[in-house]
Amino acid sequence: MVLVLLIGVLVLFDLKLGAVDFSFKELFSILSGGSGEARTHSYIIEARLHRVFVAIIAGAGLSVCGLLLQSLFRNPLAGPSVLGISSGASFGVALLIFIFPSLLMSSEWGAMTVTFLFAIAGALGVMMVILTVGLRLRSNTAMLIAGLMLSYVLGAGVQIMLQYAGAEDTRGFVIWGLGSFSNVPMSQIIFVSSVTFFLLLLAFTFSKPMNGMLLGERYAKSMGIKVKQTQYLIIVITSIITGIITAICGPIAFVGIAVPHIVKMYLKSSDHKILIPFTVLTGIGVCVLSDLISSYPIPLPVNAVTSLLGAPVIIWIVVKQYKHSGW
Amino acid sequence: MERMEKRLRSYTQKSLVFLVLLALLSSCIQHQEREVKQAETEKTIFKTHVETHYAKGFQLTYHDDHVMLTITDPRNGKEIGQWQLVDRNTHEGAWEKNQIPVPIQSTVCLSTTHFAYFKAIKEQDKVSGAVNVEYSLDQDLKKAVSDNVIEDLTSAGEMNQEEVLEMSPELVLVYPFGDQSYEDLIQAQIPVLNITEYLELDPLAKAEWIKLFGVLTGKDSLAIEKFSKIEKEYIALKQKAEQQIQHKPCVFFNIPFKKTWNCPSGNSYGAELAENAGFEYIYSDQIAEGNLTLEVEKVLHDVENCNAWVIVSYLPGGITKAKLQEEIPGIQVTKAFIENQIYICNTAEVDYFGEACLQPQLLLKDLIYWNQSELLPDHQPYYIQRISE
Repeated sequence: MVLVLLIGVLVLFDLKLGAVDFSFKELFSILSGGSGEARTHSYIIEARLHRVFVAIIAGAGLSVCGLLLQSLFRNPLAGPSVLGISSGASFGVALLIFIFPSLLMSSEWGAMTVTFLFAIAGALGVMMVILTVGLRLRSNTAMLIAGLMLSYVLGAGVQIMLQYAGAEDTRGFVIWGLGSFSNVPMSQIIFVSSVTFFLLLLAFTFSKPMNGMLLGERYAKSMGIKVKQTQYLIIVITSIITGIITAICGPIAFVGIAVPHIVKMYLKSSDHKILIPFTVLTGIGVCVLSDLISSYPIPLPVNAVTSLLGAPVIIWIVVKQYKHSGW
Repeated sequence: MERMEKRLRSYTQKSLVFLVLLALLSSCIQHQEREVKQAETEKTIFKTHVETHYAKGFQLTYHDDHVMLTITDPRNGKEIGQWQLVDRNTHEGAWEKNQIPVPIQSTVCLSTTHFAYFKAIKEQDKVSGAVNVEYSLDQDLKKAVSDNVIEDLTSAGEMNQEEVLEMSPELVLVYPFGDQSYEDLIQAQIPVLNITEYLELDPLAKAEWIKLFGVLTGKDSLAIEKFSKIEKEYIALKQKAEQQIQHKPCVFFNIPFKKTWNCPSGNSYGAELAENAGFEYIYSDQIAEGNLTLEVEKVLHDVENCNAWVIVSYLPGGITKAKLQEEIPGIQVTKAFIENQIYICNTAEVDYFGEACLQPQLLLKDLIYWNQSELLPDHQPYYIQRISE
C-alpha cells in the first residue's frame, strides 16, 4: 500500500515538474478534463502522461525480466543489461537502421513491427548464446563473462555501423542510446503495454516452477517441474520484453538487475508469487523516479540516471557476496 | 691674378656642370629604381587591397611581399591561425609551412560549401578533391566527381588523409571544430587552412567570404564585384522591409528532435535574417555562441501565440502539417499552425549549405515575401516554401 502511495506521489511530481512548471491546481484541472492557463498546457501534460506510462511499462517489464533471469541462472548478477540482452536488442535496432533502412519506409505499423522483430531477434540471439554457455560449462562466472564479451562484440558491431552511417542516422542512434521514456507514439505504447502485461501475467502463473528451479534442476525435476519448458518460457518472455522495451526507450541500464535485489532485500523471500508483484511495483517506482530526475531541474539521459541509481546496488551485492563467501 | 680668376671661373663652371650632371644622373637612377619597384608591384597579384565590412572570421593585412591572413572564430574573435599568402610568381626559395602560394592551382575541400565559393568566381577547376560529396546538392560538384575531375576523398565520413597526401594539393580547406587532426598534412608541407564561414552570424558576413576565395585564386576583383552586388540587393530588400512594416509578427524556428528543440540564438544567422525580413524572433534576447537547446515543452509553451514558424531541416520526402501534428503533440493549437503560417527550408531539396551562403538576398527575399507578400508580388520563393496541408 505504501509502495502504491509512493508511486502515486512520484507520478504526480513527474507530471508537475519540468521545463514548464504547473501548479497542482492547474495540473488537477487538466487531468480532470478542464483547461489549463494556456492551450498548449494540456498537450504538455498529455505528453508527460505518455512519458510516465512508458516509464511504468519499462520499470515493470525490465525489473521482472531481471528477476526471471536471476532465477533461471541462479545468479544474483544476472539482468538484461549485464548479460548483454539489451545490447543484443540495440544491435538488432542498429542493424535495421543502418543496414536495412528500407524496411522502415513502410507504414507506421510496418516500421514498428519490424523494429520490434529486430530488437527481439537480437535479444533472443544473445540469450541463446548465454544459455548454451551456461548449460555447457555450468558456471555462473563463465556465463557472465560470455554475456559481457558478447556485449563488447555487439558494441563493436554497432560502432562499425556508426562509422559508415550518415550524420542524421548516427545522431538518431546516439540519442536513442541515451535512453528516454518520451516521444513514444500512443500506438506503440498500447502495443508494448499489452504485450508486456500479458507476458508478466504468464510469468506470474509460472511462479511455482520458478520457485522449484531455485532449488536446482534435479530437485525441480523430482517435483515434477518441466524444467526445459520453464527455461524456454523464461527465455522467450525476457527476450520479448527486453526487445520491445529497448526498441521504444533505448537501453535502460541497471533497472533489471538492481530492482529484484531491492525487493529481495526488503521481503527476504524467494517466492515468485510475492516477488513478481513487488518487483513490478518497485520497478515502476524506480523508473518513474528516474524519469523525474531526468526531467527536472535539468534534462538528463534516462540511461545515465538509472545507471547512477542502480550501480551502487550492484556494488552492494558484490560486497555482500564477498562478506558471505570470504572471496 | 687674372689667370687665377679665369682658372677659378673655369673650375666653378666645370663643377656646376658636374653637379648638374650628377643631379641629373641621380634623378635618372631614382626614376629607374621607382620604375623597377612599380614594375615589381605590378608583377604581384595583390593589385587590390581587399577589405571586409561584415565578415569577422578573416582579416587580410597587406605587406610588401605577402598578405597575412588571420582566421578567427567570428563569434568571439578568438584567433585560430595565421597564414601568409605569397605570390607564387615572385616567391623564391622553399615554401614554409604557413605559406600558401597564390593563385592556388589545386585544393581539397572538407566542406562542400567551399565548392560553392569557388564556383561563384568561376574557379571550380581549382578544386581537385572534396569530402562528403554525397550530402551535397550541387549538381556541378556531383558531375565533376562522376567525371573523375574532382576526387571524392571521403572515408567513413571523414577526409581520407592518405589519399590527400598522395594527391598533394597546394591547399586543404577545413573547418576547425572537428575531431580530425591534420598534422600529417601539415608535416607534409600541405597548408591546411581553417574556414570559419559557417560560424558567421550575419548573412552578409557569410557571403563576404567570397573575397577570401577571390584572393586565394587571384580573382579578388571579381569576388569584390560579386559581393557588392549581393550586398546592394540585400540592403535594398532590408530597407524595403523596414520601411513597410507596421507590426512585426513573431516567428520561431525548427522542429524538435526527441526531447530537445534546437533553436537559433538571438544573435545567429537565422535570427538576423528573420529580423531583417521584418519578423520578431521569439528568442531574440537570448544571446549564445551556438544553438539554444531547449526542452520541447518549453518551446511549445513559448510559441503558442507566435505568428509564423520557419523550419530549416533535412527532411527527405518533405513534411506535412498532419505529420508535424503527429510528431509534436500540442503544436496544433499554436497560432502559426492554425493560421497555416508554416514555412520550410528543406535542406534535402535546396542547397542551403552551399549556394544559399552566397545568396542571402534570395533567402531574405523569400522571408519578406512570406511576411509581406505585397512588397514582392512577383517573387517566386526559391529556398523557403509554405508547408502544404
